[in-house]
Amino acid sequence: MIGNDIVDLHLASVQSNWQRRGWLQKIFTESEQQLILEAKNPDNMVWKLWSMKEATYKAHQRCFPFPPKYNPKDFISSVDDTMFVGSHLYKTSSKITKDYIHTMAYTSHCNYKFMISKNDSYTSTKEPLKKYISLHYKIPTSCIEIIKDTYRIPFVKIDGKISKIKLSYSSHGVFSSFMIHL
Amino acid sequence: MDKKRVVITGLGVVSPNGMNVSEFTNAIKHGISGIQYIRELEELNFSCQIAGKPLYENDYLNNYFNTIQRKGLNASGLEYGVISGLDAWKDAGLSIVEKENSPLWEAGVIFGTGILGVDKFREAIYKVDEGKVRRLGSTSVLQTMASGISAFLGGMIGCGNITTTNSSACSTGTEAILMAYDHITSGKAEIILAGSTSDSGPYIWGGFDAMRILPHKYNNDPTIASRPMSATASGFVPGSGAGALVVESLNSAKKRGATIYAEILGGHTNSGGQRGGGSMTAPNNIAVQKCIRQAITNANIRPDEIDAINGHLTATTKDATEIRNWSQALELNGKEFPYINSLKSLVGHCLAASGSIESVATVLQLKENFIFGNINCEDLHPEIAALVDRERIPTKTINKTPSVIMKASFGFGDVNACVVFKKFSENKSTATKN
Amino acid sequence: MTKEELISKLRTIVAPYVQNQEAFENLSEETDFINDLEINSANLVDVILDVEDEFDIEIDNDAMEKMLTIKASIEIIQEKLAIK
Repeated sequence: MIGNDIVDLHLASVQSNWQRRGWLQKIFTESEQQLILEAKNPDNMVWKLWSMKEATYKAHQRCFPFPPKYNPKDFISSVDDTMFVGSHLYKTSSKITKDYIHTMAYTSHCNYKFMISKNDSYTSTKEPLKKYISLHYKIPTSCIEIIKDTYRIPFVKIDGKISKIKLSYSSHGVFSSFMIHL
Repeated sequence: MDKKRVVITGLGVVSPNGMNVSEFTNAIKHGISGIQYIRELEELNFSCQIAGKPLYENDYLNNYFNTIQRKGLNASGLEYGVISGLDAWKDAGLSIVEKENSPLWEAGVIFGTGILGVDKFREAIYKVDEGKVRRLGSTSVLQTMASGISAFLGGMIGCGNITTTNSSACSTGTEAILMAYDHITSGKAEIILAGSTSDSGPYIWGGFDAMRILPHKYNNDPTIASRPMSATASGFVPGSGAGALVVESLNSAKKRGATIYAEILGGHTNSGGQRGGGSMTAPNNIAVQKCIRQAITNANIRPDEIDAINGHLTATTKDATEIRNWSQALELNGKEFPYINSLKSLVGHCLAASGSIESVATVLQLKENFIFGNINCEDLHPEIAALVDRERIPTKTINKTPSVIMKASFGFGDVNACVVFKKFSENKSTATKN
Repeated sequence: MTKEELISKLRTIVAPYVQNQEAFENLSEETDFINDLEINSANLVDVILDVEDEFDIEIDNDAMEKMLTIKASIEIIQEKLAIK
């Protein structure tokens, strides 16, 4: 199972003030707060750990469907960028550039494809995802629809029918990304 | 609210390849088969003249039955069940209640069987037909009622909670464990001796020989006859014996300071309703997959967290279908597929006892950190080879530390049972060590 | 404090983080922070901190987990005010 998350670092720096009193404590465990405070680049560490939590939330919700919750502290980072949710372990890998941080979370045996793209103002941020599905599964883009269920888990509808394709989708600021479980 | 945690604190087994847990552990680690030639079957013109049958001296029973109980005793399943059940009880460090004391209100017995005491029943039928009903003796009912096994065990120990015998063909043993689990999670009992037993002998095995589903080419070579997952599998070798597990709430186990062998995370039982390809003897594949998936949901685990599967895998052509069901239900294949083994390669198909004996083997793997090898499947069935990487079906025991093992049993009547065992750790969440 | 007063205070609190103005205009008890107002999930913590400051209450992890709608927020605030 998979989940991914993207953070537009420029937007994040204006949208959130993580130095606000109480902010870190509400989201991060004590050892995560320690990591942030000791980091060379604390901003990046905040958003890396945040996107690890978001990506893992999505992967975990795919495995054990549950109604939306706001519980970032239940997603706990451990050595080598692994994440624990209770006794369940997820691996994550993050890509950090000067513009964005992208994190993928996945269970141990799992093949996936992912893509990061810069949004243009003319087309929907879901366009690259539709294009990929169209090419990979040989279906015209006009038949593809991306929907979310009541738990906000995304699904792909093909010709109006919900397909078995498992995907995760994220968009923030000028970036969007997706990940598909093959 | 969190579900009550349930653990296993005692094991007992009477198997064709081991009369107790230590013999059995050694046998499954080293691939020692318990299948043997049975002269009686040849004399009775059986096609299949081999079987798995526990071997012990008659005097061995004195350790378990008193002189009165032994008088007229002629019910192999009752013997196996009592030996394994009392062994498990002692193994858990539990004591037998003195006659003058009150029973253990929080302890019960759920011990299944398909049919009990057929040899005793045969004796009775002859006597009745000869008009000698008065000579049946006082114990023929007790040895031939299905619930004789739970009644004997409950009475010997002094259990004051549920004392019953379940029956669901080859899924009986696994079902008994799940019934015990449910009874404890719902707060009705603290400790349940769960297990199952199956008689041995021609009257049990004859019906299967008549259905022509037993192998007939291996009468001179019994140990290579039971071939689960093999391309040359040609039917199941009949077996017999009993397995017993002490199922206990974690609270109770901790209070007693008991050794904990494994945790039961959950499971599921269902039926295919003999619809959708299912029949009295064939499974509805959708139901099998549903049972596996529901067990996983109930246990709150992900498929990729399963380290190994102990399959039903009887050594018929249906083995490939079972593997396909696992693969589809878990959405795993090739190298991603968990390790899988079948105890039946070593002991045959112990029918009603199979689920409990195989669950004992499953728990032993968690307790002693190994995954036992499958014998007789060097020539893997091509359909299975296409679904699962060869390395995932070990032919020799491997040293691994499995954390989660699933056990499933499927039975005549289109019934399924699936249970998830986990290596015990104090903290349910390993995440807090951050 | 009445429900209407609470809703009006919440309206002021969430305003800076809202990304869907139309949904904000129609804000009601049923409004969902993420689905309707499109508040960025990293800003939800700001909403929670602002609520704590405004009402002088502490929102623990269990309460925070549920604070995804106006309705849930009202229930949590009322509950916390009651035990103050």
